Amino acid sequence: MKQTILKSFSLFLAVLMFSFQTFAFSTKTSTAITENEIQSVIGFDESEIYTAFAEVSDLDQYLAQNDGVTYTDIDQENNTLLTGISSSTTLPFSASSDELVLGIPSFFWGCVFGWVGLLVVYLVLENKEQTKKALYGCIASTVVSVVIYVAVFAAAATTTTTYTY
Amino acid sequence: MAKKFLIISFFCILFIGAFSQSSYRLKADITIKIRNRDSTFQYTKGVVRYDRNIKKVIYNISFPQKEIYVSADTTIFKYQNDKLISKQGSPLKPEFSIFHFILNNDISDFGLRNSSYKATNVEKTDDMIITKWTAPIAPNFPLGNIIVSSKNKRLQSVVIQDKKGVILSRQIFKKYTFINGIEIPTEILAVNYFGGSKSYQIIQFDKILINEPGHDSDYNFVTEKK
Repeated sequence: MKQTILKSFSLFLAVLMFSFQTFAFSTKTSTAITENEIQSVIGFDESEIYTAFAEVSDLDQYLAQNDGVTYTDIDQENNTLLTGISSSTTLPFSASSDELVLGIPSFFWGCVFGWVGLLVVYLVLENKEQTKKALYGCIASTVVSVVIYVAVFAAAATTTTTYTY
Repeated sequence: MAKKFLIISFFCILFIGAFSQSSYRLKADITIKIRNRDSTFQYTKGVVRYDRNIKKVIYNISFPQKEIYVSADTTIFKYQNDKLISKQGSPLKPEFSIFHFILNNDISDFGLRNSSYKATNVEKTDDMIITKWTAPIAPNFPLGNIIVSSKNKRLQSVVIQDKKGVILSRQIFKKYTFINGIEIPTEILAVNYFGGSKSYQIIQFDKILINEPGHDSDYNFVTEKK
């Protein structure tokens, strides 16, 4: 009896030690700054961004010289300056019509936060396409939840049947 | 001699500290350029005002249309010809905006010190300090860790990851100017990643004015219900 208790206790300690080591390792890896992360934060190619805006340099100059002109004014005078430029306003760090709420795909907003995520996407973006994606995410998470529920329920029922026999 | 030096240093620190504490109001010309994933552009120009005591960001937009946007609490109000056109929810409160960080002199750590993020690692490479801010452990928290680099107490760049460590956004803060005891980046470059595609953003500030006297109503735009 005493031997069994000692063996069980030793086994418990071994498992405990192993899990502590695993936990310590996972903590270290999640907080350590990797070489990739250092490169991602310091090795940023700015020229890529400036090049992306080369097409609007003419509009830059025009607006600098003509303070207070609007999109409609330019459209009537020299609309070649407005090629590919939207007539809608955007605010800094906000979600534009093409962007996502906090950079997170709308599908995941719906999938993770359910109807609340759907509401966030609808209110922040005011974009039908993105709201639809959030709705699909919401539906997908509901379907997965139902499937898991049915599977667990079926497994429980099978287990009960086994006990009956 | 050493005593004199200490006294002068003490008063200098006190003077700079008092200066930075007293910065409560900011006005600047602002230009926001976005290149969307489909290579279309959004171009916005105007004047931004922010008073950290009032906590409202007010954008007087001149291009593409003459409009006023007011960000107050979690709502953005849009006005045209003094009429409220729309209002929509915003996850970004004015006290978490870059304007608040600038006036509070919190820009060096991207304002993360006063957030639920925790600095879990710091590394030095040459003259750069890189800090890893670990996301709060909450099952529904949407973002992952944030890596911040700074140089001479000036925020240089920020990388925002998702929970799996995939980069969502990279931002560079540059062309600093020192006004009224506070460091102000006058250009911010950003890239946002969406799987295989990305969008770019440039935000520029010009004609920055700190603590503009008077004009109280311009900083406290009274929003009304639609």
